[in-house]
Amino acid sequence: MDCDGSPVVIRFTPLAADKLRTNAEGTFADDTERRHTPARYGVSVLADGCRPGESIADVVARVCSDTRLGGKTIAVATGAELKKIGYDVVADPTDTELQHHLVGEDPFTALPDFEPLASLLEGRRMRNPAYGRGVAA
Amino acid sequence: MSRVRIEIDLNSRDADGLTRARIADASGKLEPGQIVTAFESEDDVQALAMVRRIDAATGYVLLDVNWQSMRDDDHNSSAMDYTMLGVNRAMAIASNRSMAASGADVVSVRALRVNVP
Repeated sequence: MDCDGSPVVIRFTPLAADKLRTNAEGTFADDTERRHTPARYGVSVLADGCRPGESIADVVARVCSDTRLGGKTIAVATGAELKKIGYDVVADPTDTELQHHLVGEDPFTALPDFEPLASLLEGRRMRNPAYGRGVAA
Repeated sequence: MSRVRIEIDLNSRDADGLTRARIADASGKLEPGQIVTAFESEDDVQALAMVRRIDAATGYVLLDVNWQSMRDDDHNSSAMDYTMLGVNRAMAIASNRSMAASGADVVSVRALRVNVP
């Protein structure tokens, strides 16, 4: 897997399809509460593009070091790979997580089938390179 | 005294930095200010968390997870973990300051009672 010009997408666990669905439903509830129109069904991930000279491993190391999220395991794919199986990636930054994005089906107003996404992510498990090195402030 | 366990998604963080979880995924009753064990079963990790808000109508609870307390899940919250007391106390103090600013005095007292021996 090489940088292909699309965002490098990183998700911590859980990766199972039913848990992805639960996360998307949580996003919808959060959007509804915050009156984001329309409320979106999106799976929370972190994502960022490759900077000049960076490999995907470099991006993963950088994003995982910067985030306040934590966990031993992550799964990594590119936005182009997700697009190939029918998913879109949109930026959804917060004050605390600037690289936060959502994965779903544009315009994110319906729950998609998460089995293909879960299947892709399951084969892309790797250890979080930042785990055990402390949490970003 | 048994500490309630609740499953979380490690990616879940709202604009206020809180983690949304389902009330149905908790092992017991929840109330604001309560310290619980947040866990993620695929990664087999756990962390301490404080219940910040409960919305029974939607079935969600918002947790203030202490990510620095994350470690391998021992699947046992029945005993007080003395190795985590410093972290737990710091979390309570920080949360109490926040709660006090919002006028939630009862919640603050409960948090300190749980965490300071």
